[in-house]
Amino acid sequence: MKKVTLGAFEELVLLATGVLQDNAYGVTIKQELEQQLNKKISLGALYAALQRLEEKGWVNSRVGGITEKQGGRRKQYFDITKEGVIALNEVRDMRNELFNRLPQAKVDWLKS
Amino acid sequence: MSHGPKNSNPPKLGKWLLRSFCSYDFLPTALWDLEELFIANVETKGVRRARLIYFREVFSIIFYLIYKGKSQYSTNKIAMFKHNILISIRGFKRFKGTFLTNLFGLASGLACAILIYLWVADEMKTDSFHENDDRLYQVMRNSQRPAGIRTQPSTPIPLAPSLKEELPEVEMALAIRRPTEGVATVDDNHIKAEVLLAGNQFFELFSFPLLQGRRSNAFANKKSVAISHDLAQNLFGSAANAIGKPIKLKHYAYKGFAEVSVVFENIPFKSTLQFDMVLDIGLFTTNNEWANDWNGDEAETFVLLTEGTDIATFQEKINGWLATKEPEDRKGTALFLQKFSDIYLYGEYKDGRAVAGRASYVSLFTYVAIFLVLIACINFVNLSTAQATVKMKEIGVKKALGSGRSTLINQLLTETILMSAISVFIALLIVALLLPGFNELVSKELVLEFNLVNILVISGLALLVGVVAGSYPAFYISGFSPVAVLKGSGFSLDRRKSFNETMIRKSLVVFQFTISLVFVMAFVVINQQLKFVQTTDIGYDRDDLIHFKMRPGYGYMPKTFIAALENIPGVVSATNMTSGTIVGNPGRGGGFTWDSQTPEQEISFGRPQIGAGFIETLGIELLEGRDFSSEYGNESSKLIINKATADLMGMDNVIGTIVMDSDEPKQIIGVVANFNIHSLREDILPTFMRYYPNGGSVILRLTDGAERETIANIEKYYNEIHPDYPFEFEFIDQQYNDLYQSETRVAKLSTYFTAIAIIVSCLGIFGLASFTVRRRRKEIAIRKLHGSSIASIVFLLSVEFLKVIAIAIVIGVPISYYFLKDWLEGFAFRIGLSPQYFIITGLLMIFVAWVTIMSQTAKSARVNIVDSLRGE
Repeated sequence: MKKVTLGAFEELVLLATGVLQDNAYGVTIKQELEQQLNKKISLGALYAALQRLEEKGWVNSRVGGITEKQGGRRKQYFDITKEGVIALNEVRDMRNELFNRLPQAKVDWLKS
Repeated sequence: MSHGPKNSNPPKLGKWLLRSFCSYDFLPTALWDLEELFIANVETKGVRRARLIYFREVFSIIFYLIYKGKSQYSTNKIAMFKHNILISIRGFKRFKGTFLTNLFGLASGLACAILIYLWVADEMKTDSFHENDDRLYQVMRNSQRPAGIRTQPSTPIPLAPSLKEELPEVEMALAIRRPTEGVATVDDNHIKAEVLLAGNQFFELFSFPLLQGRRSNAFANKKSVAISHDLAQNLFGSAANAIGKPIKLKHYAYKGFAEVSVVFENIPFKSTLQFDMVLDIGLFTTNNEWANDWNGDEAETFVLLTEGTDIATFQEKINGWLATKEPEDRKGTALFLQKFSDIYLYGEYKDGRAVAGRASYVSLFTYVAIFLVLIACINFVNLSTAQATVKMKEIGVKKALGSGRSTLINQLLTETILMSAISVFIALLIVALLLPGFNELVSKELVLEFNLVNILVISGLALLVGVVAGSYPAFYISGFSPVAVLKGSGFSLDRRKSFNETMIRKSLVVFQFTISLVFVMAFVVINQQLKFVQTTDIGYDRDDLIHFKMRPGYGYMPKTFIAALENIPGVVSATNMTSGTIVGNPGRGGGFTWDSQTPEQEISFGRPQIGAGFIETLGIELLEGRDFSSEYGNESSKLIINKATADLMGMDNVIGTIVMDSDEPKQIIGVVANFNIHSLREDILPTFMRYYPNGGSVILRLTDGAERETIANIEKYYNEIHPDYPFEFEFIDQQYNDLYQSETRVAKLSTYFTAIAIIVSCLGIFGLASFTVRRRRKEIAIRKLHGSSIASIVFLLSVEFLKVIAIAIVIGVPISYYFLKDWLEGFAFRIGLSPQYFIITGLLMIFVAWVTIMSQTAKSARVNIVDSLRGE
């Protein structure tokens, strides 16, 4: 079976979804990422990423939050799943492992 | 709902788009995310930006739905759109020939249209970049002449200050003298510059971009000078270095030092005022008191009106302005305003009013563009309706399954719009490729910019072409009855409908070829007229003549200078004249009277002032009498006239007659044959040639063959005499050809546009012919079976098309005759529109059309009949 991979942008969206906890939906994720990355992100691209993450089972979507502000209509929220957290961890571990193997001498030399 | 200001709701159009593309599952999410974003943006970025962002997000969501979205998130529209695109692309692949024919035709038509659009847009933009463009006017002057009202831009210098002082509507007024050449010197660096004379507010009135210095009060210090970036670079090394430095000037208006107060950016191409240097006009008027008179027209006047001024009322106020200042001389003179940026396009005047000048070329080419696109669209219409048979099954099945007519129309329109979008894309590539050559041809610096206007125009063009070309086939094809279609009988069931459809197709082809014929006729006639202009005898021999200017202020006599030039080996003869060259010499005026003169003979005469040996040097035929010569004394009291004057005076022996030149009696000593001093657009003017030995324009005749060395020798001598001025000469025949620059340009452009029109039209009939041949395959085979010869089959197939072309010729000839006659009437000397042009063009069209369809008809006639009949 083909291994399910986590793209760079997907990883960021997944992280933001996790960070925002109960309040992760289109606008908040967009604003969070724009603040962190300091660049514009279109809602279309964000929905596409969220949809892929949902297909892979790393986020769940739920309909909820009938609040005053929304004029009493439903809205789609996203929550990170257990598998999502595992995927994030895997990516981080792999990255750390590679990072640790960087020759220290060369890094120091490049930094100076 | 949101409680902000009234207009801070999300745009309705955006909501509607979302509603039509997002399904119920997804719509609330998108709608509310967007609304929340919108409200946040209104607070931080304002309503306008927020709306813009809203639309951007809407499109990003639609894109997402089309490419990646789950199908349950989107409405049917997305699915249908995807389906339509897919079907279109399959159709293109399946009928590659038709697809490529359409694509090539549309793309070349569109490429022409885009090129013309760029050119037209550029023409319209000329001079309109000034900040106050909408309020910036030039004052023009109409004077009553015997020959009618004459309109000129020149006005008295004191006009500008008097308008400013006495009329509250005038915010600024400025007198300007057009640029003339001068020399700027710093240390030993002499550089030629075009010097414009203006006043303090010049850079406030005109917003030429500045690099250094202030816009206001540029000439507060009288002896200030504003220079261009290039001039500053050449004189001082950089713009920043130049401010406050002195320049030594040598110009008719002022000789001496002036201090640099302003450095302006090089004047852009889109300005008609082109200059390198600006001086205060006061420097000129202090030394030339006469110029400040209300009697003379020594400047051009520009005014900036206050906002909201009613032009008509203001016009009335200034109409008789000059007569209030100078009642005697200015009785018939009226002033009027013309918007400065309009003068470039509407710079020709008739009866004291501006009529189209260059604007006529702008509209001409706009029509050319429209017709080229139409021709290309017609191909599309014809080929699609002709191909309807192959689409019928698909349409029938769809209808049987319940497709509404609008769904089908949507599908067919999607196909054409996709087609035209691809064509526009290819057209843009072609334009990018051709633009350098095109720029050279029209001497412009056009660039294909993708700014908002251009993107809107070009995508609008794609949409328009798609809809225009697609609507008839879409309505036609979607109107088939499903039963008839699925039975396989198609249009043959309904003979009348089929007849109508063929008629429409044929009349479209007639239309195409009529336009092509008009193009070809125009091409032929314009080129013939230009050839005529270049080869006709204009009364003097313009080969081997060169022209250059003497410079005053070097303390020599023109007479001795010319005598010395004549001694240079290779110079056949030399002469001089006043102001300008022989070609297109503008001078004319009245003031010649003689005893037996009748009032009808008081007209405007040509009145060049020429030096000795002029008639001989130019090779003008001397009919009677003699040329001016320095061997005689008192030549200034003599006149030479041309044949037209002699005819006008109508005397038997005109030599020796005394004519008053204003108040000076002069005697006629020679009559020469008529020669064209103006362009061939104008008739030969009755002319009095006066003797003036000190004219600054030199004309030399050189020996044929040794021009290069001779010119080198002349240059050496010239530089000895004028150390500050580079030697600049022009060939008279070149100057002559330059008179017809706009015609030459049109002729060159017409070559390409005509070629495109013919190629695209031929592509159309090629496509139609191949289609007809395919449809009549069985008929051809049966005819052959019964013994028809190949020739008779080819004839049978061709004659249908040739009839159409013949009708096009019958319609096109009178149309082109009408327009070309009109064009030729702009020339006093012109070719006749002889029938042979029409006959040759007509035959050419038939021949081209015949060759185009020949390959198809011949192929079909030679085909093996077994192959044609075996099927089914």
